Amino acid sequence: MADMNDVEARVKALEHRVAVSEDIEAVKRLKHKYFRCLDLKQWDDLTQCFTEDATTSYTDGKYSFRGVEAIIGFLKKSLGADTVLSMHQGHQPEIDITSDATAKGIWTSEAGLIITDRNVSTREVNVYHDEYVKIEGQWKIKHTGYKRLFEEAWDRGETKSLRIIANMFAPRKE
Amino acid sequence: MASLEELEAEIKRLRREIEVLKDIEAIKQLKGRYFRFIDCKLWDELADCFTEDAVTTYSNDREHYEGREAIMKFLKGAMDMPVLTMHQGHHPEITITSETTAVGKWALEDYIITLKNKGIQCAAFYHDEYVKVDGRWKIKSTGYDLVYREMWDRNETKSLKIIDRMHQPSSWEGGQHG
Repeated sequence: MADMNDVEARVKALEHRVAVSEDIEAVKRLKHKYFRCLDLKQWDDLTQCFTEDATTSYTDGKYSFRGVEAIIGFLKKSLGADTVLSMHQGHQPEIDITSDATAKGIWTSEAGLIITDRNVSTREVNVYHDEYVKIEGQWKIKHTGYKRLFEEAWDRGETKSLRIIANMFAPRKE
Repeated sequence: MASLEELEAEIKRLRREIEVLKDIEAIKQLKGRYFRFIDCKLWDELADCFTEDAVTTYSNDREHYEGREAIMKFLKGAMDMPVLTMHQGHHPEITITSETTAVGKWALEDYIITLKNKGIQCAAFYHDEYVKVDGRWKIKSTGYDLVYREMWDRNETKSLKIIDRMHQPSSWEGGQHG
């Protein structure tokens, strides 16, 4: 028959396994927030998603940055204008908790952009490879980057009937 | 205060519940790898997602294959052929039916560009069976019923250009191109 020490050891093992499940969920939530902040242009909240010394290797390393300030600067420059409407989706997360405070993740993503002042649309499909760390109980992105599967672009003017009928970032009418 | 026996029973119950959650997550990751390996054309890695005796019922069972070898031959033939593919699995409904078996439903959206510059898009629902072999979940059967599949000539949109891509047509090893 089991004694109290045995029961305690088993409870401890269970606690660890629950913690791993919670960490996976927290990392997914972090990435969801990252995508949301991109689309809503919430730069302060997006800053909170990264570690101070985070690095990126976007577009096969073409856009590599070191430090959260440089990263946010780049993202703001790329997506910050009111003339850029974006939709970023992350799919099929493969999250691997590698220790109590580190994790890796792979996501496939689709991003659709509408550049309103040029009336151009683009679609890009990428595979993200991320590293995460837990700092004071909060998961943060330590490294993020993606390989591109493809990107395409077209002139929206060719589709004569196409109209934007709602736009969060449209100039306010006086 | 609870007796040791009661605590033991409680631990056993909790362990099983956690095992189920872990299995659900592992199956989601299996399906994630499956889609990623198709789009990245990583055929050896994709083959490893299936059991030896796996069965497919793709496209309302029109693409029916039995055995990993036959499935891989079909997938390689079909997915090497188009220039580019994007497969997205949404809304997983995973049910663990025993310690080593599970079933799952997924909503699929795919978007395909062929060498002849045709666009293909489809919405479908997957229904899968999974088994755990030596501690690893594998696909035992997979297939989908189409809600719709549409096709168009991308050349009609004069401005539409692919401006970046991972797989160049010249880097392929033969096969029929559509």
